[in-house]
Amino acid sequence: MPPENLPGAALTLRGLRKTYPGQTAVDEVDLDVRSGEFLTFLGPSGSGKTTTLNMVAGFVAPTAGSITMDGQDLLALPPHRRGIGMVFQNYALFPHMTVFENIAFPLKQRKYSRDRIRTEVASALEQVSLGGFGDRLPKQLSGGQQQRVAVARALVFQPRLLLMDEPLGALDKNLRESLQAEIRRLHRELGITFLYVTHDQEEAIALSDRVAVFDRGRIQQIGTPDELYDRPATRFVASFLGEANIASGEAEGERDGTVAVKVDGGVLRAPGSAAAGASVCVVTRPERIRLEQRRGAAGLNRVSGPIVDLAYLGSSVRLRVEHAPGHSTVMRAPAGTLPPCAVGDTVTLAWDPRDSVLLPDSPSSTTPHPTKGMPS
Amino acid sequence: MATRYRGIEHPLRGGWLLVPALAFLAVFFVYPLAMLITRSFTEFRETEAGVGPFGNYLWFFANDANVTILVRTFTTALIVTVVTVLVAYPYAYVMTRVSARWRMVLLAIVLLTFWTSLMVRNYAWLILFQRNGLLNALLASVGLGPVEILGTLPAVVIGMSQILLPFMLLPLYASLSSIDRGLVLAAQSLGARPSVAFLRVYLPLSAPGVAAGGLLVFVLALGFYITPAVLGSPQNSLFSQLIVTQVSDLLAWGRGGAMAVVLFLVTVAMLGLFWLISNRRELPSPLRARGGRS
Amino acid sequence: MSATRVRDPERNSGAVWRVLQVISGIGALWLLVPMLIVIPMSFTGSRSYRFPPESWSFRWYENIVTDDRWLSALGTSLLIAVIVAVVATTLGTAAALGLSRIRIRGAQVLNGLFLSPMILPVVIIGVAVYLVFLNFRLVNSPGGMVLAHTVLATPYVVVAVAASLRGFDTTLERAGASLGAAPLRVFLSVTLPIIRPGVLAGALFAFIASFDELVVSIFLVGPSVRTLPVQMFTSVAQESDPTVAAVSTILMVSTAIILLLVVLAQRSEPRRAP
Repeated sequence: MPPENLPGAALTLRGLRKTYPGQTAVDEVDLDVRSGEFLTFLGPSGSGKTTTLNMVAGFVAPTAGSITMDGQDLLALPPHRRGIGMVFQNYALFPHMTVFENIAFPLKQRKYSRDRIRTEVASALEQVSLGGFGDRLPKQLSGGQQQRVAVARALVFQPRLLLMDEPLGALDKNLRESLQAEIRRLHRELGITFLYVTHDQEEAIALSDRVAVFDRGRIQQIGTPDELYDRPATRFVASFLGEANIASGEAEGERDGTVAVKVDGGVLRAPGSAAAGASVCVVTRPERIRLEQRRGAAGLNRVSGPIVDLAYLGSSVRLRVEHAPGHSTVMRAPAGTLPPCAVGDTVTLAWDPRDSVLLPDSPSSTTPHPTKGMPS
Repeated sequence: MATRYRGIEHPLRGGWLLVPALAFLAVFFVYPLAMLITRSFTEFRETEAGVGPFGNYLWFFANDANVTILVRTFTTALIVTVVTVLVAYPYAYVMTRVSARWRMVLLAIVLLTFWTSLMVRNYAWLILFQRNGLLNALLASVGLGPVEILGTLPAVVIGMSQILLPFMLLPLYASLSSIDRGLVLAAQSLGARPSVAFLRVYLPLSAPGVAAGGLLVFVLALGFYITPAVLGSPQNSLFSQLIVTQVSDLLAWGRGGAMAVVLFLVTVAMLGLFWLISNRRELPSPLRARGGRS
Repeated sequence: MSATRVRDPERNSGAVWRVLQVISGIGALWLLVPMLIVIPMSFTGSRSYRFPPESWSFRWYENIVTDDRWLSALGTSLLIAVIVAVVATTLGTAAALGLSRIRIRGAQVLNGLFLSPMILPVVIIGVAVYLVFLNFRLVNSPGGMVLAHTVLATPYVVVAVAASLRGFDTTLERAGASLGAAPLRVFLSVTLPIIRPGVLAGALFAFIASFDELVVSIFLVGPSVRTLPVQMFTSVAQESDPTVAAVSTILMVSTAIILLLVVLAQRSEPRRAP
């Protein structure tokens, strides 16, 4: 289908930069947002994700670079002419207007007739399950209800792109989860492009088609949640998303497409290539590691040591083994699959080297590994 | 590239909103002040002609009568400040300790005074101090003789103190009500007698409020015109009356301007002093009272 | 002698508290009595200020209406105050908005400049304005009076509107823009309704500042323009009759009523949502 017929806008960011005196907030961001996808900007505070979003919205002017939406240059337009919906963290509902008037506001700007406004607002309220709330004032609503009104207001004029700046940050956990479900549903029903900002990686994984991980003004990696989790491109991405075992060491040599790395407590292997003597790290997810009771196949990665922590987390069990002084490895297994063991027991953990990822080792590595996580 | 929208976050965004007010003030406030200051350096009476740009200032400080008036004004302002502090502190403290209803009453009294026209308040003292007015009637009822207080400096001090009392009370009350009483109780729990707890804990914490109110009252008192004019006499005139005489009666812009500049500089010096102290110690600066009218 | 009682520090008691109460009482009386005394004096039958009055009458109140000087002074003050309120509110609101938005280092200085007519001794401003207005023939002119009063009244508006803006959530303006409203529309539909209490308060302060203004007005009055406070001052200086007392009583009662209305209005004003 030609892009104009799709309900969602396609967004292109090229070479986007934003500098303030003394600091660079956004440093060379290149991004293609596909029509109708749910893309999340994920990162710690100060990583540039919100600034980038604000540049798309038009509240911040970039120092360099371009932003185009469906081929149209956005930077030539002031924010009130970009036709992009936006939901803010503190809802930003107009306190002196009723819910109805809040949602009707963008329609009035577009000179809709009174009847049409009434119908559209009513259906917008229905869409967020708040039918009948039109006469209330924002202060009479709970946080969750206010946020839903904010979403209805941002969608009522049928924008092709919706921006959401940490909209669930002010809500408690249960409310957040139910609203996340509603946001997913809205995205499915409307099919428009959603651009979401959050620092909560669980939220990002739960909601998104793709996630762009930000750190210090740059995108470290863009990909589906699976790609980011199983094949992180940098040490930062590995540690930011979920739990990861990161073992640093020196590469010893390459053989059959795997590299042997000397780490504290032994030698680990991981697929990839590295020059001998290079500083690298081996990243392994806890779910990929097993408790080995009998010596198993050769060629597996193994570490041994005493159990220092054993935690029952409902559906899974988490085990921490100190395999070298000051270094530990974490493994996770579904509940009931572990043989009886206790803190203090000496055990061996083992896993397939192909489940590990080899990455250059610098805590501030900003260059993604050449073969991993290219912007797709 | 096509024309770029500069973004809603430009540092000077909304700056144009300031222009009308700025222009207005520039023409009708800054310009007159500048003119006055200039005249003080350029217009001279015969006795100072040829002495140089500071001739008017020299004339002022050389003249004994002028200096006396300046000193008198300073002293009066000081006394008024002290008196207001002594009355306002207990009043404000009581306000923080009584029930909400009493606090309303006490506050209402202050606000009513604060909002009443200045002329009305001065006039009220005029009536009170009359030879056959309320004051002497009260004194007579306890057997004391009538006092001719009108035209004396004490009358001016009493009147000014009452008129300036709200300017001390309101910042002071704001300051005192923000002090955490728990600190005083904590001091007592550590073994301090109540009086010691007050002196070592409460008083220092209230110092910023006292300083702010005191500064305000002092600056206002320095520039007071109406009260000394109504309740005082020519023999006891204060600085502003001197300025007005020079300008209004004698049209001596040079001299009048010089004196106004002296008053201006003293005011600025006091404000600057306060700003320095409050910035160094990060004291709050509740300088938002209704401004000074004499 | 009984054993030492442990005093509850939370309760107000003891000799010290008595003394404090007495001082506060004296303070309250000191604040109130002078003003209250004006009320009975306004009903005195004689021309003197003897207390207590020997006779009672309404004649001084009648005088206000029949004596042309008083009536025209009252009318002039009211008219000028209304005009000043409108002009000062416009200038001051714009200034407060501008101050809240600009992000340059000199913002503090600008703020000080806008407040300075309120902080400087009025007599200095009076003299300076008199000097310049003489040259431009703005003395003894209602227009000149309006201009001078506006200078003095604008700071009050700036303070009042700035206070209102401090609690204003600027994200609301961004929201308005994202929904398609141009900056002017955002101001009219979003910002202004929310800061309206501050603007109205500022307008009221500006009105009162102009209505009560005395020192600068003394310099600027003439046969063509005479304000009420100056009329009162002249009457007092010339030792005229107690009509001033009647005027004062009316002013005080009006002030009290306005204060009451303001307090009531504040109670019923819906507070902003967080």
